[in-house]
Amino acid sequence: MSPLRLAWINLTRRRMPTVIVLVAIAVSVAVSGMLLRLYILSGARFATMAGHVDVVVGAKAGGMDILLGSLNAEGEYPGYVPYKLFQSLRDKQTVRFEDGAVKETSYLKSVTPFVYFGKYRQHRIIGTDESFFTNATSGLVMDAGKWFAADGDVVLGSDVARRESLKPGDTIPADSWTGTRTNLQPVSFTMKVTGVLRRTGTVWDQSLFGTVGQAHAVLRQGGLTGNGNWDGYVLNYFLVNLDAPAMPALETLINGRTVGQVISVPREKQRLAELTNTGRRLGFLMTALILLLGGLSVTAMMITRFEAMTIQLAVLRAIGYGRRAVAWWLIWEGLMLGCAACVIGAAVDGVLFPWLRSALGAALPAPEMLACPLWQSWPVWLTALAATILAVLIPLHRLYRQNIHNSLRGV
Amino acid sequence: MEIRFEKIKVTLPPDGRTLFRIHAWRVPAGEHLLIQGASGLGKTTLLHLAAGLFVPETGDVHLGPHHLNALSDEERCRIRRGHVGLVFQKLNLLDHLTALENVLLGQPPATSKKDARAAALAALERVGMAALAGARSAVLSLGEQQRVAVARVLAAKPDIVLADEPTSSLDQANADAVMSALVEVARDRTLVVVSHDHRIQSRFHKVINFSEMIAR
Repeated sequence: MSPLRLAWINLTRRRMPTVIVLVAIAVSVAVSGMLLRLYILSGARFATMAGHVDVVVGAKAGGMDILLGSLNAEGEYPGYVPYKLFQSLRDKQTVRFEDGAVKETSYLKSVTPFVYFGKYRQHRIIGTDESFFTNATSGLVMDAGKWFAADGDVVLGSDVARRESLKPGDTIPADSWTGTRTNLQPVSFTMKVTGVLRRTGTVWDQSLFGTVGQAHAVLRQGGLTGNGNWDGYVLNYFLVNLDAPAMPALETLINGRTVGQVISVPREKQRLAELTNTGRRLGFLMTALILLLGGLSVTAMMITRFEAMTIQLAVLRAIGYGRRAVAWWLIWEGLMLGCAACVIGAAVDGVLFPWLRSALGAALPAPEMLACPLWQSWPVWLTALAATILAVLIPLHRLYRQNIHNSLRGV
Repeated sequence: MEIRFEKIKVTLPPDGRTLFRIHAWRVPAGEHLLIQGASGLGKTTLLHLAAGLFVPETGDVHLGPHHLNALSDEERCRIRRGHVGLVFQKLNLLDHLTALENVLLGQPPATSKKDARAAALAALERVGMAALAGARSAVLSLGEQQRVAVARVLAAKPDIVLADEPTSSLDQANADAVMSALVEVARDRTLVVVSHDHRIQSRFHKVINFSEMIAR
């Protein structure tokens, strides 16, 4: 009888101990896998954040809300700032306030409008203008087609084009983004793809870009422009590049005299890093500990299982089975248990992780923004397999030192 | 294949107390020998020694042309697989295997699956266990397990059969059947049986008392 057959019989005939070990290892694999992916996600949460922006102006909210809402496409639908303010900043670089005050803003290098107005499947559609692409610091390059020329045109992020198999010339259906305003009916509209951006590895890959004109039309049509003070001419953010020393002046200008709030992107990123690093370190420690504990418990269970087989091993040796054959039996058994437990654990991980991720909500990037596929749990599977192999090594060591005569006599 | 012991000394762990000494002892090839004696003298140890399950502290064990002391554990294992059939006192069947699978375990590795199965079924038939070939040994009675243990040796047709109390749990009829089978399979081969069972004495060429073989 071959070692493989012996291992298979031992596993399938001793069902209860096998199931207990299998379940225990599988749970360990599933939990460790989910924790590991949470850790990866929490680490990658800001990896996709768009760069090349010095300052973001948004409706008054927390600095991080503005940062993540604009450059990481997170959170609920953001508040508005008036389009006129944007126009003043960009066109004249002179801001005229309602009370008649005037401020010069010659230190601005570029100002780009940014307003969310729709969704195509799970992807956000941003209303902006050509400056978004042509700004020398944006780093955006067109992979196919051209920038949008008219309302109704749309440029796709690379992931959107790839996932949805879209190319320039295609027409896509979209709906207005009503956010949490459940009393509003979404407005449906169509957009014609004019171009596809080259992959950037940022949140822009997951986004679509239309004109501000269309954005305003959709927002007005859907009654999505809030209190109507600005006649529907609103933006969510302006993305600004400026001379660094000018930041205090812009802050004084916007924060003190408008409904907007200026945030420095590098400063907010630094704050974010400081806030999240402690949690990440803790998360890493927890994941490492659970991996270690999982591995040790797997090893302990396997050792117990094999220890209970001492007499069986001695009998086999006594009737002429060589050490190699018996060792292969143990190795096959460990491998089969380990592999089966990894498959079951991975399946549980695969089923539960989306639920866990959605339960954690805004603490993690949205799935459409950052996928974290099941295969990223591979270190856990490898650890579980290594643990089962390690668990085999100890009985193997004993096997090589076993005194068959004493074992058979129960000494 | 003959068995030969020379100047053997066996000690007991852990204190190293001497269990027995055998100055010289030989079982010629083809001889059927019954060893009787009181419990605790080391009869089982003698069989284990003859099978090469361990080597003595001093002295030499020869199995046919093989000097067991000079061989590695693995080499002794290969010799057992090819030449020695063991029936253990504690039976030592693998309880999660069926009777048939336990018998198949003892088959030489070179045997084809078909031949091994046929030989195993024939051996089970020989000891009256064919009907229970598919039963797991854990559910068999002690007597049935004993017959399966004997069938494992019968199917392998070894050059030397070493049996430790092969009839201790059997009634007269089954003891007769098992002994007949053992004697039959060991025809022209060496058979050494350790037993307290006086019913089986007549089946052996020679009966010796273990206490007369050894010194302490």
